[in-house]
Amino acid sequence: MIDNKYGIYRAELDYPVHPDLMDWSKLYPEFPNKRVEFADVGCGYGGLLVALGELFPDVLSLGLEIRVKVSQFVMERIKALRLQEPGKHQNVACLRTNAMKYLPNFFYRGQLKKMFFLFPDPHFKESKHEWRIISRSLLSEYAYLLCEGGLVYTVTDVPDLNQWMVKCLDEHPMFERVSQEELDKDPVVPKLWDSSEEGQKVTRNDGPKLLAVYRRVADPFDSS
Amino acid sequence: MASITGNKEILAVSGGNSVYLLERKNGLLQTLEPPVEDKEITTKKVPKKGETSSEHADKHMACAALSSCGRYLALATCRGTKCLLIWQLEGQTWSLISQRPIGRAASKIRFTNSASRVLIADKAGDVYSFSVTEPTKEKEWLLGHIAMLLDVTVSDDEKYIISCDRDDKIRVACFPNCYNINSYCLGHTSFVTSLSFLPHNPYILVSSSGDGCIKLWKYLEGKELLSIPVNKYVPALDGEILPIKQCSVFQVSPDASLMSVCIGSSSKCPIFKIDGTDNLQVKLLCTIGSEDQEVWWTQFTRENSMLLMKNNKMQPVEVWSWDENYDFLLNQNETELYVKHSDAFQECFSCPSIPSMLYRKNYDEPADKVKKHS
Repeated sequence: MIDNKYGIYRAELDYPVHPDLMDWSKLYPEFPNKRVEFADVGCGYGGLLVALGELFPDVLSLGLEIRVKVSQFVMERIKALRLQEPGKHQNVACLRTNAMKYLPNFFYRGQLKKMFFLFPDPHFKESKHEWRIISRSLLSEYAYLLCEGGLVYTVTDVPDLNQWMVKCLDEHPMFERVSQEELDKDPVVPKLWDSSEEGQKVTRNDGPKLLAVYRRVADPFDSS
Repeated sequence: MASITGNKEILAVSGGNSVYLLERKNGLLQTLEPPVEDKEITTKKVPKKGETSSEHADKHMACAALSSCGRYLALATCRGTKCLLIWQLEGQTWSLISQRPIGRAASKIRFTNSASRVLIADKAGDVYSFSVTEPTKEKEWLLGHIAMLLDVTVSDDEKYIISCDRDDKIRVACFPNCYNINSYCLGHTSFVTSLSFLPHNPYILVSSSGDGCIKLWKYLEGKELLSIPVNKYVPALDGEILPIKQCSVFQVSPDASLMSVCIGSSSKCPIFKIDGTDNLQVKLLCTIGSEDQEVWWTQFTRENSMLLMKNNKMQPVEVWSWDENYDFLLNQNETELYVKHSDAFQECFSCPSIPSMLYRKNYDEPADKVKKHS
């Protein structure tokens, strides 16, 4: 069954039953004792992923992509980059998986420091809103995976989707919006536009650039 | 799936779109069902494309639950306007105190320990809470999975809510702040069908799954303590691993509990004894059920008896008890009381005990799919 025009197959994907069983050495052979800290969910062609790797040489970044062809492209791209520039790009990798379903199979509680959601599928129809990658259900899962102080970056050029994501994040008790002042100092923010393929396209077309960044905070319920 | 539960006075069998109450003293049958106007809507319902009307009606079963105090009975209907009905026992009669729409078909319905709320886990993956004390209050969304839910339960201290889904996951979240996920219990390799707390150590969770295993977990840490491959104890005829439909647990001493297990299409119901509070040990006590009829549900009641529901025209409901050596005996007298109601229960067996939609469809090679599609 083909899910949609992008050719996403509803195939069941390989995933570890438990994070303990995940073999990361194939993805990051040079970093046997490090854990992934940044996750780019729906990494597309991997532009941001590669930029993150260069910006944070000591941090492992993982791109997650469900489309077969696209994820294969990113894997090949990383392989080629590693050959071209030996010693570099060892801290980035791409995995084909369904992030909506299997993130807790890959990562432990509080393992992630940053999660990126760049130009997610807008799912315009109202009946499809629950399938958006930012939803009240999935935010609880992201709050579980992120450490306290961890960040969620969302970027879109669709105003409706931006409003939806902001609403979901505002309403979730474990997320708090990051101020513009702080974003101005964040070295990642400019990369969101100039490194990702989608971001470059929006810049070319002079489209709207809608960014919302939220911090994972402690559960207010525990202190009340 | 049709289910059975009960206490000292009554047994409640849910199936079709209603719940059947059996009086244990005299075997009298009472049927509680949605008010008539809803039934009319049911008959008018247009079946979806590709479904005949009977298929539509048989796709889901109503779910029922009895509060631990025995004063409330809840039913989530599955046809027409799907709704939650709550009855309260006043003297000898059950009166309907609440009727609220639920939206999606329910997979499991449970009262919290204090019976202040009813929780519904639904096929769309969400858990909703309905107040019992305020019978007209709207439902409250608690949490959501990205897969069909099969069970939900709240710890006795009402601090944690645990839900399990078609995608092998057991999620432990805080309660009532359900947006805060505490842990996942990961280890099953197929859908997770039921959840219970080990009665003699409520920090341990018991789960059953389509992978044929019962697992025991330290759920706050998401740590697997023990896995029981039930087919090792009760092999199927052709060596196939049968899914576990559900299990029920009952405390027999400060450091031991009994567990009855309902397996796939099997006519056998194994009874295990789980010993120890931390260092757990499991042994098979016996296997009950001898005829060829499939066991549909097994449930311990609070009063030292075990209920068995079988797809058997002669004896749809069996009541079992045990002696000090854990020898299980059929309560012949009581079981015979229910024989005359077997016709009423036929509807309970009208849809498969394990819906095929729980199984993953395996699409191996995307290339194959493209070919088939074109």
